[in-house]
Amino acid sequence: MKPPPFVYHAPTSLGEAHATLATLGDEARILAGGQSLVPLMNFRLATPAHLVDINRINELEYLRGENGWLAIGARVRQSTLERSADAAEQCPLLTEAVRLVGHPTIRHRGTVCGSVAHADPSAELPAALMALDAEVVLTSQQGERAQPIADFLQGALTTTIQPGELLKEVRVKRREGPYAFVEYSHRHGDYAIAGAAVQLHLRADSQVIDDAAIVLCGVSDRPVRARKAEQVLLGAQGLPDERAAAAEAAVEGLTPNSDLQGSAEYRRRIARACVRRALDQALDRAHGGIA
Amino acid sequence: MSDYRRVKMVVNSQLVEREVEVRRLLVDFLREDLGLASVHIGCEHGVCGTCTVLLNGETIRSCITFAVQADGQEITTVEALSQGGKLHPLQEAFWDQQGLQCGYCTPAMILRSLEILRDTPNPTRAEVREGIAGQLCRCTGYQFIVDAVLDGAQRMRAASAVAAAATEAPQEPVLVGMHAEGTPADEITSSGHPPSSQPPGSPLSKTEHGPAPDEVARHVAEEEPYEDEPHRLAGEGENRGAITQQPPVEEEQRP
Repeated sequence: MKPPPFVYHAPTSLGEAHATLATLGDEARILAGGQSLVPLMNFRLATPAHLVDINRINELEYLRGENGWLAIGARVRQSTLERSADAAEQCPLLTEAVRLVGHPTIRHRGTVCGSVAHADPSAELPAALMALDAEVVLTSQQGERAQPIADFLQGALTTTIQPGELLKEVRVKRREGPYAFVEYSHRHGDYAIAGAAVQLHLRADSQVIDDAAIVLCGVSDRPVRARKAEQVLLGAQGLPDERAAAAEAAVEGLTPNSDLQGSAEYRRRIARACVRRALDQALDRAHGGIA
Repeated sequence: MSDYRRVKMVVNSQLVEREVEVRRLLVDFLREDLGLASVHIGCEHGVCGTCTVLLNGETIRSCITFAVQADGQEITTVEALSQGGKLHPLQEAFWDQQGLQCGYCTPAMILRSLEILRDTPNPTRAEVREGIAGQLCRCTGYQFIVDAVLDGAQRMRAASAVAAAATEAPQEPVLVGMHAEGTPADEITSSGHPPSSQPPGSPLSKTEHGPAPDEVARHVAEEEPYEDEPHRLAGEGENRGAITQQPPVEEEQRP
């Protein structure tokens, strides 16, 4: 189908965008890559009265690593993140996750911040960013506020963004240590049935795990931080039975949706397998082979 | 309530300026307004890949992009690939390897394949398969398409090598695999098929241009081209674009 009529705004500066968004309030939706919004409009599941296209705002095009942070502006495409040497060096988990988003053709248009603002529960980037304790920066005429991504994501396609606000930036602290992003989907490029982002840190002397973040996607209305699994790993060596125990703990108590793609139990098992494989990949990579 | 904007963009090396409704999808703008019949509409929600075109040299899905978003940008469709009545080497490979059945996915498949080969000139079979995973084909089972892309890769590498050897002068960038100017035709065309085996204007015609470029030419002729401006607004440089203008072709070739 064709999208319903709307009024189009193409501000060329952040100030202009703020003014436009302040005037339009909750009638406006932001158009960046459009890779999720435009399909919804074509189906007429989304019928925004106004679209504010931020693609002309050059000041939102930045992807820089400085002072131990990687800052990703709202106009940065997923393919730009994928190719970024800064990202690969500072937060390789993100580089690994972004390669799983859709197809290259989608990533040429889709933006990193757009994926976060869209808040699809099975999306890769919000889960990976949550495992990295990322912050989102929201701006409006009233000023700027930063929020941990775990608080920003409120449910399926739901965030704390307020009328008049724009998600201007996602920023992540530099991370070192074993990492992996593993997901399973029926077809390459589809949304995942479930997936797991793992970011660990090992003590330099003993190789004991002294920091662990495990986040699942596709198993709830938002990415889920697997605290129990992280506890299993803290202070451990990451031996095979410890990994298995962590994977089991990660899906304990989860009640994913049943749908055409699979039952709740199937999703739980897929999620458990993803955590186990991600731990295997992360730790084997760190140890340069089989642990 | 309808909102309209005047947009200006370069489509297949020709400047186009139009008034469009802002909700006009790029796929409809290219296909219906400009008559570029290679741009196919499939699922209309960004899943099948059939509407793929190049925006500033990168593949995008034109069914989930508004025409107004292409304002000031450069669009390339498969109509721009053949040169001087000769198919692009990758198109030749699709012909020779029978890399299609109904042909509906073919223009998009070729554009995405060109992008794969630009990034990976000598891909493995697995790389090709993964690379085209976003382009659905419901006929072939993909085997012959992968054969065609691998064959095309070989032809394009050969053409690049020949072009590099033939001239001392700096080369035109070999795009997305466009034949560089001055490339001996024999080196890049190895098909044994007689050109007449396809009707003029068909996607596989080697001797005639399809109707679409004429349509654009006609449309563009109606508009006043901006002579002062280079025919390259964005994404220039790098190893992209290098698409030369089609020679004018007589009108009314459309069956």
